[in-house]
Amino acid sequence: MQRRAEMLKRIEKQLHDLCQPLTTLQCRLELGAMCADEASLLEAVQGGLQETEKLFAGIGAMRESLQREMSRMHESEDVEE
Amino acid sequence: MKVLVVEDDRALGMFLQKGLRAEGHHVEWVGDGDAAVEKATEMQPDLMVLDLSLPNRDGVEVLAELQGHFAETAVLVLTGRSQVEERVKCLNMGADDCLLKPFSLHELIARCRAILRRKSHHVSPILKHGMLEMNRMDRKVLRGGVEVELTTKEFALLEFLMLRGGDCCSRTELLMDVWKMSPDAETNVVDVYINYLRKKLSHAHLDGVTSEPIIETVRGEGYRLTGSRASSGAIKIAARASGPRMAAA
Repeated sequence: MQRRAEMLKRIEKQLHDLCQPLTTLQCRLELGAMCADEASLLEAVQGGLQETEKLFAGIGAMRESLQREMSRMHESEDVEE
Repeated sequence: MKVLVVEDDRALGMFLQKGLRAEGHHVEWVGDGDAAVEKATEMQPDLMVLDLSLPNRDGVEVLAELQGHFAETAVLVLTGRSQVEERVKCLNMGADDCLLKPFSLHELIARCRAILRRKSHHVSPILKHGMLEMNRMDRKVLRGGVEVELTTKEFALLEFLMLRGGDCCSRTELLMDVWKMSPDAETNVVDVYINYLRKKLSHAHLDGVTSEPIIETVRGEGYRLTGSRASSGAIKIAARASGPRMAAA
């Protein structure tokens, strides 16, 4: 029960960590599209790539904790058998 | 309108600032809770866009401080936390709206517009001066019923002149309030933009037939609108020393 609560808390934090770069990415791209000149679009794309790096890191962390939880689940299933 | 953006993520703060500036607002950005309270005291914003996760003093603490001292400031809370309880708490503490991250810049701007519209519900957003009509919410200007397309700066300049009715505005005042420049700045930007406005406003009227000039030069003083004074129902419009805004009678 406690482990489940910890897991939910971790998912909540990881979701929060994804929200920040995703909002920045969205706003960067929308602002670039609003200005629509070459320099603004280029800046939006370059900045957008920096934000996707942060998103990749966030997804990596989520994948890691998912794999950890799955292997724990398999271990406990093996013990029960 | 004066807007204060409080967001600890520098990049996001800058984009929100740019997006809201493009809407014609005067926007300042700070990155922590202490600076937010300090800046709010200094600028008395019409709207604060407040992130909850902040260093020094978090968004909820800032909100509590605002509730006590800045009742006139509307607040749009930004949060990346998904608990409903937190958003309910913020709304109960006086926030006008909450926006969950990730969000679209367009949605944020639309929500800001809606908040400011509600805030000024008791005050008409329409300014009138003779045949000239300005809707400060929709950011539209009509002359004799014909829409005039203005840039953000041209709109701000005309808004300042209209808020003054027919009173004279000095170049220094316009430079400081509309351009936020030092009064000592050596520039003719005010005169250039007055000319832009004159051209656009005269073209918009009577299909090319020469119309009465709407902005008059007061020699050695500045500029003022000609013709009849502003009227917008029972609303008294006042330009404050800190910049133009509406005031209820």
